[in-house]
Amino acid sequence: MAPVEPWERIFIDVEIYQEDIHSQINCTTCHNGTSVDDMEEAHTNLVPDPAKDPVKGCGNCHPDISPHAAESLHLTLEGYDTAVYQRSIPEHFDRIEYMEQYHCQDCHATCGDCHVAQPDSVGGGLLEGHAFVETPPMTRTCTACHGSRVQNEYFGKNEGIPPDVHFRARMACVDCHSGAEMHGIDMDNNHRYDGEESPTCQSCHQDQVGVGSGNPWHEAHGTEVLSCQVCHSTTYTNCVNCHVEQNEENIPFYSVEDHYLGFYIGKNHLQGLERPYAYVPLRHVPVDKEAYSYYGEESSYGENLLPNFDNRPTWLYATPHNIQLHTPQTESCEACHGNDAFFLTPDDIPAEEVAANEDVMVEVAPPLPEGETNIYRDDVAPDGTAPAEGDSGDDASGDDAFWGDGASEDDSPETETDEDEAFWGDDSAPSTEEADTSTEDEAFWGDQPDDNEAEDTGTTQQSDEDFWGG
Amino acid sequence: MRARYSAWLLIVVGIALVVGAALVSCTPDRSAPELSDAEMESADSLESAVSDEPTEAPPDIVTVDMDLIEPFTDQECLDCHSNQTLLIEITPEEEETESLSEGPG
Repeated sequence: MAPVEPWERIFIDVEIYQEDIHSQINCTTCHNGTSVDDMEEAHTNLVPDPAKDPVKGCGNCHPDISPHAAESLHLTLEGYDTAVYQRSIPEHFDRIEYMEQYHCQDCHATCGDCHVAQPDSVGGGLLEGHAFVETPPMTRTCTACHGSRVQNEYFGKNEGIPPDVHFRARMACVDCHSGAEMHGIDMDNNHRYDGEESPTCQSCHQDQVGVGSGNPWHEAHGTEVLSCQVCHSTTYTNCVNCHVEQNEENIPFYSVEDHYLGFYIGKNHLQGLERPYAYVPLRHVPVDKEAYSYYGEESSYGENLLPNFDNRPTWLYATPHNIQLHTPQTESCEACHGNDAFFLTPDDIPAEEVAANEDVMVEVAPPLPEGETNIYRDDVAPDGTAPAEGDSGDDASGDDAFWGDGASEDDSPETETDEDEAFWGDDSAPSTEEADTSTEDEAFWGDQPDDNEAEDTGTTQQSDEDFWGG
Repeated sequence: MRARYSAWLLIVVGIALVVGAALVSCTPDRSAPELSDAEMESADSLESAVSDEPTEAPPDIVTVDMDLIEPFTDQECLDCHSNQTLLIEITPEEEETESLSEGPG
């Protein structure tokens, strides 16, 4: 993402802004301060981001959305609290909240962080000269925060891993993640994976999933054994740990020791009516027993703030955003069955984390059920072992049926049409190859990093910019 | 006995007829008025202006009554924040500081 100059962050582009209905409202109505020539007086009691309180800042005109947004995970970050508190005890909650003030505040996404400016976590700055955008530009807002995992996976920035098939079909975040979901409308969840599953693959692939789909792989597994990502996602980023601390000048910093690409199927610790799957991909999240006590007794936040570390797995339910039709798991039944390499087994887990992950790891990969014959995907099948033609959802016609638009691993976005232009704005979305370099249609895609930067952010560059998606 | 019933029946029917007539006379006249030639022409032109295709209404994204918004008077704010030259001049350059943080997060 191109850096925003300091002056640009506060520059109002009158030509653009005057078309916006918000320009009819006095500046001081939202931002406080006083409209006078003296800068100091003008900025006295200024409220730079009125949307930090969505109800007060936006609620007068948007009463149907702002109360929900105020309670949404994007603003409250309650998901972090849920995860951290579960590993701690109430006596430490105040120390944890103190820590969060230094390390989490920038992650809060207010209404303005998506609809008028870039999030603070990437330096802020107005998006379109203070004009409000109904659909936030993906790379300057969504993946600006969700960078090191979602962005790298979805855009195919992890070395050797292709972009998500939905990205290749030119789908943006908002094509699956609705406004209602983003604003937390009618949701009362304390974590990203709390409550109803949303979005779901079935929303679009309803006829291709489970028993009755005609796909032998889907017929065999139904809809309650595996989440879709078990077969259709692939290698993703795992973080070894994370430590947060302040230096002697009280400047906060973090340190992630290492991260690596891997793919681990394990048991679903969230199994229930909403997410019935027995097996799901598990991602190691950036946490450590000493995450908040880097300097031990000298730590800024306290010692041993996570005494119940084993209450929650460190390998957690994941929905990697690198969906593919064909993955190594789908090559044959025995690609997974009996193959420990795809499963989270005790060998993968450091001794100090085994207790935390007892509920999600498997001793060995489940063998192929007795009486079942190993079958291969048609493109990798030794003679006679592929599913019979017409039965397979993985044959060419099946691909089309499953993916709707016939996307396959080698597909690049189709030729532009008028409809595309209408959808993507004044120009088409970047193609798979162009996605990291195009500066076209920045209104939608935002500023894309260049190729080198894209490659660097995959697995090697270790900097703040990398963390926040460059 | 029969004559008394007949009399009561006549009285009730009579009252019902009177009440019915009164209600009918109070009903507003919903019949189409007679139009003059000029009025007919005006009505024809109105009809021809109606398109066959329904027009989609713009989304109602603002629920506030715009009449309640005060006229824009914060011109000083706008003058300064839309003056690129001035902003470049008065906005301090940010010093590049080396990040203390390590790793992808």
